[in-house]
Amino acid sequence: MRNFVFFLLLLFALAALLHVDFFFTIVYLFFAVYLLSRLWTRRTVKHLRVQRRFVDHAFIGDRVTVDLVVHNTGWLPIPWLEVHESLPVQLIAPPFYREVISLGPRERRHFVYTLNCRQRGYYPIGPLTMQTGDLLGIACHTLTRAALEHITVYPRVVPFQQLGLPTRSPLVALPARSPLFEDPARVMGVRDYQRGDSPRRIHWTATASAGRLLVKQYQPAIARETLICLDLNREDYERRQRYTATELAIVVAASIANHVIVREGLPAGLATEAWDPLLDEQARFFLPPCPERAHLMSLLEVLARVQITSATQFVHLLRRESVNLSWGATLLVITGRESEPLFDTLVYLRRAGFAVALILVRSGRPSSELQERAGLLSVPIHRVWHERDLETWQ
Amino acid sequence: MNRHPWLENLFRPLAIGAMFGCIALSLVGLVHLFAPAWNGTYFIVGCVLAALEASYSYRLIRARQLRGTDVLRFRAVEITLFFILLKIGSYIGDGWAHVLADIQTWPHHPLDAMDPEMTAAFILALLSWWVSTQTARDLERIGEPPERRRYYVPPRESLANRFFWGGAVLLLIAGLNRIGIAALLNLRRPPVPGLVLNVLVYFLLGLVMLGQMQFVTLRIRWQAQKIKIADELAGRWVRYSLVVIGLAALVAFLLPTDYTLGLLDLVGGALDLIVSTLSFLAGLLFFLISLPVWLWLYLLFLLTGGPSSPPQPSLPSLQPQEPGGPGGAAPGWFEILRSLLFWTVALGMVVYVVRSYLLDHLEILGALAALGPIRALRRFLAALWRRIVGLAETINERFPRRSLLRRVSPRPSEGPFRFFRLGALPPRERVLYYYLSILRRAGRQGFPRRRAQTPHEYDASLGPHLPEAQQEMSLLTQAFVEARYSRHAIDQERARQVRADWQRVKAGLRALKRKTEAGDRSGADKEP
Repeated sequence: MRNFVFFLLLLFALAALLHVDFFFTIVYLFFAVYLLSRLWTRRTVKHLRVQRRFVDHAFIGDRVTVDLVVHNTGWLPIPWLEVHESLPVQLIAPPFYREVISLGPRERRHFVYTLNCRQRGYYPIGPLTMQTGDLLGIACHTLTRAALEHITVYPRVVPFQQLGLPTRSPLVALPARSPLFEDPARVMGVRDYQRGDSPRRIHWTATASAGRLLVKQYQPAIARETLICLDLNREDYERRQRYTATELAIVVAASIANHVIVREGLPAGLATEAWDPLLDEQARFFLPPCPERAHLMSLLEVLARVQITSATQFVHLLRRESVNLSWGATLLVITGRESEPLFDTLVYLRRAGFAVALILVRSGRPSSELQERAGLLSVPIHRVWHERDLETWQ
Repeated sequence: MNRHPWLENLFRPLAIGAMFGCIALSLVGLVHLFAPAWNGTYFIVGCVLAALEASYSYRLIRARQLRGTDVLRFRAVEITLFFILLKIGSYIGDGWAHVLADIQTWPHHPLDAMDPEMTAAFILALLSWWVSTQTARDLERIGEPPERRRYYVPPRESLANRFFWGGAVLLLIAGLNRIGIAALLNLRRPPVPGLVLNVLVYFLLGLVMLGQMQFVTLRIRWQAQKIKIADELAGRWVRYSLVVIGLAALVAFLLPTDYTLGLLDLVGGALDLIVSTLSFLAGLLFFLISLPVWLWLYLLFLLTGGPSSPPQPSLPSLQPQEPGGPGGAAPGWFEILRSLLFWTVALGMVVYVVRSYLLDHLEILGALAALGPIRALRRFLAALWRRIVGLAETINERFPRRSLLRRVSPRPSEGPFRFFRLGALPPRERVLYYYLSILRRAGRQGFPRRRAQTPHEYDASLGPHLPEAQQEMSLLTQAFVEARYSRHAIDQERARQVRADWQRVKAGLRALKRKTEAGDRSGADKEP
């Protein structure tokens, strides 16, 4: 109410001019209303507490119930409170939750709504904006409580019993005579501890010396580790099918990682360069191969939130990350289109002693020329365009 | 959707009618000052009925969707009816003969039907009807999308303004009614006591209506945005509104309203009091100075046997000039105190309201600050402040340790009452206090810090005397340097660690003191 203050001062001036005692009572009445309204609103705002309870990780198809608790911890009631919770449109429609309530002294109110996890991603929940005020429209406060939180929806994982590929290892054949895995008798160095590393691998002496956890690296005889290289460069997918293709590429990556780690019990890692909504910038992800389930969850978490990006060179990523792998490791390259530089890189990786497989996520079948060329390089090629294409691997 | 039809159909029209009746009542009272014999009851009733009729007729026109000439015809019938009713009302109390005689003159002199009294009453009733129609229109318009007009005023603001201006007019009329027009310019007239019921009713009803308007505005907005509204909201709104208005009324009736001294009188009285006190002190000083002189002269008179003894100096008395009241008689202390309380409350209220308004409208504050004279004043005050700060810094540089001690602790060792809570200090100041406390203790024990000594040099000189706490002394010194010169935050944990060191160093100093005292005693024993 814009003119309340002017009116109050006018009343005071009139009361002082006319010198009628009761008029001062009227002035006090209005001043008391003004003061009470302002103080009341300010006090109630201070005593508002908000809590949001929900499971912040979910799989596609899950229904996540969010329990929003608004608590008035003070003894003064809140006459009206407009609650507005912003929500992701991918999980709920309409993309907000709104209600107007009135809270008594020390009253607590629960708001329950359900999110339908229909699409993988890293989604913001909130912020919760609340508006309150007095009963006469003198004071109004808008406040933001229960800051932004996030929910991670993992990508779809398509289970397949075994990949229908002519190999014992995930995708490619390895010499059977060579010793498998790492040889614990031959320590070749140390590296930083990573989630999933066995405590038995910790190099205590080096840890004490460096002041951070270090684990031993053994010389591998033959590596049976798989690195999934996911291409999320915008230019490497057809414009009209870009969204579908990249989402499917992520599903393929998640399914293969799940199969390798859970079914075969072998180490799998991930290398990609993508937009990370968590950091709000383009980021390079390299998760070294590891056979632990905890590692699989880390991998799925990355796959849940990565978004397509531009101005990246996928072939550079392949060359750069391959140096971190043991000899004989498998590189699984998931991309939207083949190209000359990609073939050059695959040749380079083959010559460097890695087993390489190429998965093309696109609608058309690979040309016979491409298949012939890949055959010459001993690079198996798979095309995926529907999730049922993954099922044919079973 | 209106879930409270009684609110719109009954309460609001009645409230508006009652408010117009309150204004009309004061107006009739004012007219009575000039024409005491006039019976204005019909006028009050007419205004109330006009306001009521306006609310219903506006809604009727809207409901029947009347347009153009239909509306004009409807309004013409309404106005004619008002006139007839007012005319009938003006005849109340007159005899039939007089009424018939008056009516018989109308065919020959039609203008006789509109005598000045009737004309004034009719115009005022029409005004009441028109304002009430506008109020009904604004109430209906609440929640409608704003119009694209240059001078568009939202209906809620329009209603509030109407209420405020009506209140101001009512206060003026009721005030004139009470004090009389002749006494208006006499600013030293005594206050007028007593309750003015119609004013109270008008403002209480107005506040209730303001609350209702706010509720309606918000409800319509929420409904338009399809926001779910809790069921209990409407009930609680009414309850809380009544509580707020009741509380405000209670506070208003408890606060002082009458004052015998004006603000200027009070300020003058305060100045008089200060001048009287200063005069008394000067007189007392003069008396104390002149007393030895008089004694000396008196002794001289006794010795020499002069003709007359010197005049004895008299002790001054404190007689402040009391400010004069409106009647010329000096008010008692209670009156002064009451006036002081009144003006404190009144000025505090004005300051709070203006301050809160400016804080809510920072653009106005900015515009005020940009005004030339205010800018010049601010520059002057800033320059003055810089001078004071510069002076303080100079003093601080000259007496750094003293000032630091004063800042850290309110001189805990000097007064008899040591109400000093160390835990209340921020961690950084607590660390400073610990170190400076050690400096004071060590200084008392004969190890003062020289002015030129740095903390580390002092540590090197004191440390060897505290073999049990040498390391803690070094840590304390280090913590002091960190707290004194670093910019990063000192946390509670750090302050707790330093406290432990401080206690060890204190224990070391106590041990040193005991050793020194024991050595002194043994030396004294051996001396004879």
